[in-house]
Amino acid sequence: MENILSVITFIPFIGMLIICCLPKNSVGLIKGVALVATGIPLILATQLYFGYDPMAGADGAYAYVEQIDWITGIGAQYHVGIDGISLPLVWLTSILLFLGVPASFGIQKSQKAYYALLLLLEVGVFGVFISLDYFLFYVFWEIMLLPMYFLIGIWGGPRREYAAIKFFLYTLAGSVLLLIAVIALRLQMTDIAPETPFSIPAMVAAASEGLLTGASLPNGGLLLGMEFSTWAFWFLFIGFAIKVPVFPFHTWLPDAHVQAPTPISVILAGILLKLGGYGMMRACFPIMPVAFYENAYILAILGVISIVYGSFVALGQTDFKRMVAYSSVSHMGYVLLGVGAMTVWGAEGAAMQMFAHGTSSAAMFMVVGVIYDRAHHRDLNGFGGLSQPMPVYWGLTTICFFAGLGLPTMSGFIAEALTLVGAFQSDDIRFQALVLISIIGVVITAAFLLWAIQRVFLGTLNEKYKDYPDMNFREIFCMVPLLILCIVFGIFPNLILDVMHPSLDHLVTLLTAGGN
Amino acid sequence: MNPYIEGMQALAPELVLTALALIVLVADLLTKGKDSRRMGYLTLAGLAVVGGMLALRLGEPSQTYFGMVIVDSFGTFFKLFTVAAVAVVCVFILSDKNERKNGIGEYYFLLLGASVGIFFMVSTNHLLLLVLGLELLSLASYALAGFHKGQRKSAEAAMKYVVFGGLSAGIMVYGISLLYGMTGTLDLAEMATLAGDSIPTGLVPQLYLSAMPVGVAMVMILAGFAYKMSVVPFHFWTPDVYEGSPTPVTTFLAVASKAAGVAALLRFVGALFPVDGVDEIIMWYGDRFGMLIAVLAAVTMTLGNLSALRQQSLKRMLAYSSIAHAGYILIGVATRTSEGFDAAMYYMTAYYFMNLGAFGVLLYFESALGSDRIEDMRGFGWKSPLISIAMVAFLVSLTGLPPTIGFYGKYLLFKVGVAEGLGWLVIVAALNSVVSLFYYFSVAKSLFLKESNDERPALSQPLFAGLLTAIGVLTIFFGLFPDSIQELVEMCSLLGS
Amino acid sequence: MANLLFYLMGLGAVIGSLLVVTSKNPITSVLSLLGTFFCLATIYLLAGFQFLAAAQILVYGGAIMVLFLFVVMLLNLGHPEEGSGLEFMNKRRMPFAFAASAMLIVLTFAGVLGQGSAPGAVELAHMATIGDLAGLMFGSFLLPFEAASILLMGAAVAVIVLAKRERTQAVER
Repeated sequence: MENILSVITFIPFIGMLIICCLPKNSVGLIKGVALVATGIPLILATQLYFGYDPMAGADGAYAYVEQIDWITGIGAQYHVGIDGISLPLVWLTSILLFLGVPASFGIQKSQKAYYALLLLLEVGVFGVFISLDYFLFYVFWEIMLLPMYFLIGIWGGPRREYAAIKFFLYTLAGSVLLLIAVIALRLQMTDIAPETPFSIPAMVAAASEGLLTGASLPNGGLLLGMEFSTWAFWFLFIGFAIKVPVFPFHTWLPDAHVQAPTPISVILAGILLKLGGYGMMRACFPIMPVAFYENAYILAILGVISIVYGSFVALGQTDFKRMVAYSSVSHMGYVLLGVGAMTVWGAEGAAMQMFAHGTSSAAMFMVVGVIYDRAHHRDLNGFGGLSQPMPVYWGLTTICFFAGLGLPTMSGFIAEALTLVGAFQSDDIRFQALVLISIIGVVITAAFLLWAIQRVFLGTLNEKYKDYPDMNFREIFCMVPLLILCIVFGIFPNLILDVMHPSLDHLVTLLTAGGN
Repeated sequence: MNPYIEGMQALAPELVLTALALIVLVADLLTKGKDSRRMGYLTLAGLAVVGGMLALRLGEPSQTYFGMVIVDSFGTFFKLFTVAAVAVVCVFILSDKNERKNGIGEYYFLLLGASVGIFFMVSTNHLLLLVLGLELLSLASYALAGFHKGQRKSAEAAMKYVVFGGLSAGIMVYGISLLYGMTGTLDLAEMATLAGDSIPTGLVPQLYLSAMPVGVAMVMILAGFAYKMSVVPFHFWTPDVYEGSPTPVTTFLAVASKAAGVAALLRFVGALFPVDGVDEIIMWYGDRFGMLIAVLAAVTMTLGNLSALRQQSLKRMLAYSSIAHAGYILIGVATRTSEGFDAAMYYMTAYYFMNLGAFGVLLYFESALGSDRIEDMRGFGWKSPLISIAMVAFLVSLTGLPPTIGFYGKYLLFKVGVAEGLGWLVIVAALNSVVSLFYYFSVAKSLFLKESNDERPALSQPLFAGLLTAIGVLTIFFGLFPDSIQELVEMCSLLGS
Repeated sequence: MANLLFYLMGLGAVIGSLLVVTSKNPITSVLSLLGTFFCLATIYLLAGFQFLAAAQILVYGGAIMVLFLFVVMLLNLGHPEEGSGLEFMNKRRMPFAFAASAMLIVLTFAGVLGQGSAPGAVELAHMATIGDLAGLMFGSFLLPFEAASILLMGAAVAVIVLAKRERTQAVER
């Protein structure tokens, strides 16, 4: 199928339209449509993933490319395609959104609107991962915000309104800066590639030839006294860093996560955070290679701060969900460290970490959701001895947390090990110091996760909790596939590394060329 | 052919509009003011005719009649804009549950009279005709603002509007008289090209002689435009007048009247200070003038957005938001390039859709709830989902997020800003968009995120709801496929491409 | 001589207009306005605008002033009480008013005196007879003339709308 990417992206949209037309009361039908509309993309994406020839992404090439003129007035195109970096994330998205539907069956309030928004969110996320046109990319990037705002704001916890608007404001603040940088890039592309001025591959190519220096902009690209390469790089970076989130832009994340309903937290942690990391790899670093090369060390420092800071703060939390949220900050720090190192291993570690964290943290939020549905609170110190009434839950949680702390045989281990080794390989001696510091984060992460298991499952059983039912089939069904993925990719990492390798290899070549 | 007859033919839309206004007035007298809705339908039919005449003229070359009326696509664009806006305002009046059914025939006459004023304003380079058009628009607007004179707020609105309008019009005319005294002509095109032999006339010799007085005159003239567009520091009337006026009138003031100010300002700046001016001193001077407008833009959008943050009333919030949007539009004016002007025109089109929509929803809530307080709309999104979802589209567009027409408009403005070295202004505007998100989405929050404690059922107005939904759909459609509007704007470009 | 008269009349106009706004008695205000109009008419005459001067006296000094006087006397606004809402000379607002006026004066000086002479005006001085005026009004300025008529029409309706009693509304309720 030539236009398989469009099909994957817009099937949820059709599903959304169908749901909009259904009557409010036919809840079963709505859920069914949602399942089908997320299930078809899952099947197609799985097929795509296993039928993908890794070499299709070599040397900056893209597979399944579609290129149609869209807004001729400014040269924006409907230009989509995938490579080894985006494909695993597309697949991850289809998995998590599909699992997100049954995970949402517990929701009772305005279900029609809920599933419609969920599907719209899926459209936006797919769109970002497949876009090769910066304008299209930006449009999808922003489309995603709206359903997220309502999903947190309507179905969230007690402080949902605050969390929803905070999430929206933070992300928008980043994306308007992004927009300015995109405009500046677009203006320079007018002469370089008049036919496809928004094309990301064309921008990357132009950048590698040293054409995007801002010289053709008024004042030579100076803005507020900063050189073009400086401000454009930081505008792009901050736009994506807020989404990751990188310290110090992370403060929206705990609020959004804690207030969001469980399935939305799962999607937020599993996919939306990846958009930031993906955006950097696709649409920031390779377009500004020189600035990236100069600032890579600062980025790595930010990454390490996120790793260590996130884990320390997680250690101090008593709210189960907040702890998991901060663990995301910590885990996503590896992405920056890995890419910043500019070694193939580092980049592979970073890309793999995105996938691994997408599965493990999603599962962790499901763990929190399971207990919250029963106890209606998330105070870690309020539980204890739950291993007796809920043995299955205990077992799955343990696997899940092991995945989170990077136990060998889990995908998280491979990702973190690759990242750290890759960073250690760097020619720059400072990276080796950073690796040593980030080891602290690894240790603390293990500490808070194990401590959480101890507090929740071990010790004396609180009488209140002794009648709790164990996980039901729906909950197990949602969580187990994620854990299987963690284990499979932990044991056979080449299943994913082979897919990513050619594209990442090319990326690293581009980035290291920025130094010359 | 006789030049007068030729001129009359060229002015056919104006004549038809004037005739329509008089017919409405007389017809209202003959029917003794019973069932004024008929006057509304008559007005709509007449506007359709005028709109058709105008649409046929799009793309015709520019010609000047009577030495002062320019019939060109740029003017036709804004005339069509006005006709379209007034038509929707008429529908608003017809759907307004709080409005009387009888004895309001003058409502339509005043709207049409104001439109004639706009027609003159947007199609002339002659300052005399400009002032006449502006005054006609203003006089009709004063009466419209005070149309519910029994209500204290409406009377107060009219009073404030008159005082501020008189003041700024006075300043403007004073500036024009200074300019006339110095250059010897009221025609902007002549002013820009005249170079007298013995006696220095025209702008260029005057600027060489002494730039200061010309600057003073320019700033004073700018006051008149700033007042119509509600640009800081001539915005003080906006919130009170918008709040006090009947909502359809507010819509007219926010959309049509503002567009007239924008069009006139574009003509003024385009005639005197295009960026590729012929003369060195014009360019030097134009840079200063552009910088002044850029600073005004930054101040206007910031002040408008920050003031909007505190508002409890949706109507007042939209008033401040319209101030902020005037600031965005000024980015395009400040660049003084053809692209910048086009971007401003595109943004006006976007503004048309999203503001007509937002004010329409406001009118709906006023009818349904008898209140325009954002808090009173709690949970209403679940009761009238279609209108509320359309409202979210308008809010998204007003914030400037994809996939709406407002985003594309903002993109074009930002683009010309960056391309013409106004990067700092673009950053200010971008941060302002973030601020504006907060108050725009307080409406969305109230509609959907809050629980309703109001037992009143939703109001059933299928036609009106249909109109709003259609505007909402167009808001998104033109955001995703803006080419058709962009082509129209480029065809009607003032400075040519 | 002409210069002296100009300055005298200018001074008279300024003092007259100041009296209009500062005087507490409406009759005094109206009469001061009348004086101001006469001073202005004289200035027009000095500049050679005979028609304008005549129109000024006939229309403003005559018709409109009489109307004003009638209104003032009919409404019996003779002696406004303190704090009756007509108190424009509010102490709080005075600084703003002064600042605004000062700015206008400075602008005027900068504008007019900044360059010595106003060349455009020199030419105009030759064409101020009634015949010339009629030629302009029904010739090259026909359109603004007609536009002004629409303007007056609109203004008339606007005034009626604002002035008429809301009879229909009362009947409805």
